Amino acid sequence: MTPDTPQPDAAGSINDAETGGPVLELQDLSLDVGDRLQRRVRGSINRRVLAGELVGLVWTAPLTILLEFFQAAIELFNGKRRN
Amino acid sequence: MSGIGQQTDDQLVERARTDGPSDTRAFEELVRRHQGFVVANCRVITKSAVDAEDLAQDVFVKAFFGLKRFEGRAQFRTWLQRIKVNHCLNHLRTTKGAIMVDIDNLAQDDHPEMQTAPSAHVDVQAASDRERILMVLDAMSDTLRIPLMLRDGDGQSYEEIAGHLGIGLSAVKMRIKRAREEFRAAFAHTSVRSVTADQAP
Repeated sequence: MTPDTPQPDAAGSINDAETGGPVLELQDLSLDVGDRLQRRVRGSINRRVLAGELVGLVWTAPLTILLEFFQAAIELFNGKRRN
Repeated sequence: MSGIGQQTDDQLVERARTDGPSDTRAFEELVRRHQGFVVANCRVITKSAVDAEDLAQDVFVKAFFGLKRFEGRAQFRTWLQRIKVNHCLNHLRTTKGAIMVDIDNLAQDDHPEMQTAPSAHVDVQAASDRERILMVLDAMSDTLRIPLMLRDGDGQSYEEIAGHLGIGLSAVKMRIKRAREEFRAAFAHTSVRSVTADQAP
């Protein structure tokens, strides 16, 4: 361990003062982006929701069609039996 | 119900969770409140303004779809920071490979990746404090800049930083100590330079 290696304090946590103290300039660092990012986030959420719905449709549409065919076949069969 | 602008983060989170994707106004207010620091942090970690906005967008979208998992034990900002740190570090790993050189006890002179680029001491005009901060940080190596930002920008604990970066606690402390020294020296230098530039005829 080199002499300038900071030591944990007695409680085992690290004392910030040993590592030079926090750089205050970084604590409130913020960049101005206007409302551009909000629009991008909204667009991205909408796209993901739409994509999810499409994927859901890809799975459910064939099943729905099959079910419709099946029900039509049953009704046809029942209708013939009644006649 | 009071206007969106007057609601607390917790209230907005609850409302965004209830409204879902059909009405994102509450979540957009959360984006508006926190976008500045998220973009700034992403900008510092990646050193790219373009990447920073893309990453910030991803962070907020992840947060939106993860709202169901947000239990409210921490503040929304803290939770967002965690998503942001993980996302930015993953981005760096995929674009740059390993982020860190393992340097528990090494001499800085032997490792150029730990030294601040000379441009930090030269290309300084009378820039705003924020621009000077970014300039100084951009000139620092990933090895020093990232732990510094995680500690002093995000307020992460040393243990958390060690976990994120996959390095030992002593290495984290060493890097943060050096990073703070470098930052302060370079930032003070830019201040002197900008004052001199201001006074020049």
